[in-house]
Amino acid sequence: MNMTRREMLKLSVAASAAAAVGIPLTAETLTPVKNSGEIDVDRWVKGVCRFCGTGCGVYIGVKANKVVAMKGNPEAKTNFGYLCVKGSMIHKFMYHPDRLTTPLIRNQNGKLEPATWDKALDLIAKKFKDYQTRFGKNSVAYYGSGQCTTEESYTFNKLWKGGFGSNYVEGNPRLCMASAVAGYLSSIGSDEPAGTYADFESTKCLFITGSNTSEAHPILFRRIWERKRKDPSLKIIVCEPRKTKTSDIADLWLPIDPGTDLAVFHSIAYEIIKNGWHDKAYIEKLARITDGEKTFTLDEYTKHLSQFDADAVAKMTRCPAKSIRQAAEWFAKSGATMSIWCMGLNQRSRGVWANNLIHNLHLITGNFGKPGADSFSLTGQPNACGGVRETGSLSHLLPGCRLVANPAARAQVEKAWNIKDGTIDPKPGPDTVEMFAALGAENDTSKPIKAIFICTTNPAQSMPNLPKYLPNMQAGFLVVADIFPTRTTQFADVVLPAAFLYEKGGVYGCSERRSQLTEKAVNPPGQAKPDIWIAAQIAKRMGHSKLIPWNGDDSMKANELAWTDYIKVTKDTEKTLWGATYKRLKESKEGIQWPCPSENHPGTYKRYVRGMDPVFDMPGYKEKIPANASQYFYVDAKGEGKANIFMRAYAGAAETPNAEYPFFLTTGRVVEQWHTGTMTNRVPEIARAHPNAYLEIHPTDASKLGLKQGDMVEVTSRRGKNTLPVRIVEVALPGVLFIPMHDQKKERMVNFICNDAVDGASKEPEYKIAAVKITRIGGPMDVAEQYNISDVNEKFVF
Amino acid sequence: MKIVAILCFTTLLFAAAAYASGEHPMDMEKTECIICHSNKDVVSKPEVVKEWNQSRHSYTGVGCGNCHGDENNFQEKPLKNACESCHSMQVAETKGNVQCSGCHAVHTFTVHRKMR
Repeated sequence: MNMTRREMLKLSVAASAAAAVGIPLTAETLTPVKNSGEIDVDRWVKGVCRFCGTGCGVYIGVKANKVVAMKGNPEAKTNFGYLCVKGSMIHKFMYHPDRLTTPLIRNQNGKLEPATWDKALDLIAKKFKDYQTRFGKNSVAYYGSGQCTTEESYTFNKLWKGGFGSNYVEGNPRLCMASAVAGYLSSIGSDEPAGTYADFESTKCLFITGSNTSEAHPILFRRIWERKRKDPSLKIIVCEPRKTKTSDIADLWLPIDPGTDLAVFHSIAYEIIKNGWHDKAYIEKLARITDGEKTFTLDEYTKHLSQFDADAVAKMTRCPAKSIRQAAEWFAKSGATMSIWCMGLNQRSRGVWANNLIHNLHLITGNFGKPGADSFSLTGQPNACGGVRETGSLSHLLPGCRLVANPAARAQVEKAWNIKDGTIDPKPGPDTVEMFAALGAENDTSKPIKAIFICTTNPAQSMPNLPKYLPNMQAGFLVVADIFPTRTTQFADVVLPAAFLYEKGGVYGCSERRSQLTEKAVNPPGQAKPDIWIAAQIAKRMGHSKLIPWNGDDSMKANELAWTDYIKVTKDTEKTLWGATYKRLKESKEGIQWPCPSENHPGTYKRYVRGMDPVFDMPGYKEKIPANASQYFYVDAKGEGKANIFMRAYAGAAETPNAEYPFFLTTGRVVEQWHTGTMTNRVPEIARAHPNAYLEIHPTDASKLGLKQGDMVEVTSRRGKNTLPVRIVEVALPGVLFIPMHDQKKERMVNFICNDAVDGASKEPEYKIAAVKITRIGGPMDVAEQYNISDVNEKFVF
Repeated sequence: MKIVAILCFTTLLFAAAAYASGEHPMDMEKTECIICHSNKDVVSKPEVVKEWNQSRHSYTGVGCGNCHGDENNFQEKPLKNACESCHSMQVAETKGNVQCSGCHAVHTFTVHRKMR
């Protein structure tokens, strides 16, 4: 084995740390998988990629009961066999020596020490029961993830809402997709897109905004590129403050200052209507113009839009008027326009409005409900849609994305769960930001939440405005289930070693309403256990084994029981997966897209269109749909079959630059790294490309500040600061800075800077926009060492 | 001058020997691959970085290490297995000992040789 001194040191430290907590390490676990020349496996097991929301079908290569390789599934309809750099190297971190393999309990000296599962689970149950008795049912919260399987999220959600009668259930999709959910609910009437990825192959104009697809969804970007290569007449418009590689294949780039895009969207709408490019018949038949309360005429809407004349908007946004006019023409006249967006629109204090305005463009031009025409939100996480949005694992939702505040929805779910009427609390719980603000110590009367179970996510790195929330995480009773030590396990009172996806199996539902099953490929290492087992064991110890009976050791059997329970609860909703039985999902190589009401239904390409959408024939829906309606929004709360064109006002970011903080800062992903870097940063081949965070700055700004490539700077917002090197590149507009979000080193964790101002409706924080200042603190320093937390007892001093 | 020539020759010999044995000729440490590989004084084919920059691999984030590995598993000329993870269908259709680079121009990748 060819190992440098640096790597030897790192492995030695890892080995010492592991030994300290009782993790057995062998030469085999320490040796990276070698490139043997041919992929040599005993078997390939069907599954789904663990990373982004694309939902790439994979085969997991197993040799001697270990995962040794990954390859794409050519029959998958999401990726057709292609994988990106992250997905192709999943096996390279699964056996990293930092894996958590035994439960850990924090002792009286503040050290995490190994414990048995019984001891750890008994302690959790005892503490949770004690808090619930002393401080009420809502003193114990759950914080999950769009990376848990659907079965896991459903189980935790059922335990809390049906077992504890508490809606204190949140998940990290609140931080990434909540604005898309609220956008779909308010504009269309039901969450998640009408169309699918297949629209990429038939669209004639693609509008990309708030998404660096090239890096965040590389396999979808490959698909878009391929379409453009085969059909150069496809128009691609990109609206972004950074001119990323996504923009490089665009026919038109609409530059904007962060937060000003609402004006551009309104302006495009104005140009469309002013030039008579709108679809008047579609608007009259299938849409209403509203501000949420009153309805308005098209003339009144046009008058409202007239304040967003392209020339005026150009001054507000830095987007040239000519480009706005060109975008409007292409959008309206292409024949089939598709929009895609992601966190650039969602992680905003006006994220819901931004979503509404994109839907508006589709509704006024009739670019909806036909091949290649759709308003399509890309999801960031692999199972935010299937696991959290569809199972309703947020504080205001129930399975099927029904609202807890709706008495009929509560009654339906209580009946399906066979629990007493009135068990489900009618009051929605707190959103994520409120939840972590309310977490605290037993003796702190200002903090009503005393304990939290955190599953498959890392809020001590991923919450915005970290200085505000880290003390709360330190003070509360934290149970954390994960596969590696993280910033969050550093605060945990109990750490539970979780099985990785391919060590337990389960269902993921991606951006295009597609549920796909991953088979269990191998056993977890050491004593690591599936999260569904952990949830069921806690339920058992807290007297809810009747509600969660799937507490056996066979994870695939438990998954099947949970899935079958879930599809029964959502059977009569427009998100029905009743026909997607576990047997069928196991056999299918491409998964199933809801709505799927019966076992002989193939799944749905396009919603709201007769002949494509089976809901038109489902009891409870078909009675209210006119027999002659070819397209109909049956989810319209007013029962008129219409979607809403929202007459929103203009609002910029919650925080904009001023004399003291003169720059916009935005943040996001790089292609090689996933979220907080805890997995991908342990794959040397890809992590070396982006091992540490940096400040991306335009040459014009760098020159004004006298900065040279690699100089160290302090970046400060009203909340906190980072110290990191500069990368001087012509990517973002002058005045706009960028820091990637994956670095775990405290000095480079961008969430010390980011803003926790939330959208009023979705409660999603404005990660994407902060006002900052920069101070040069010195010349280039060596900061390239990738940083992982290897020692579970390393302190997080903040 | 003679000494410089001898040193260069020795370095090249060392590099050739190391490449031949499947090892990167020097410690890669923290240096990004493209920094050395863009420099004609260090490598014989600096144009590969330019080619890669224009390729679909570059645009979808497939960097040097994805195919060539790192110090632990370096491959100067990646074989089919390096392609298979991301291009499983195409590799399955490639029979026998034919390697992907036999048909696809390495580092540009965008199109099949026959289509150029």
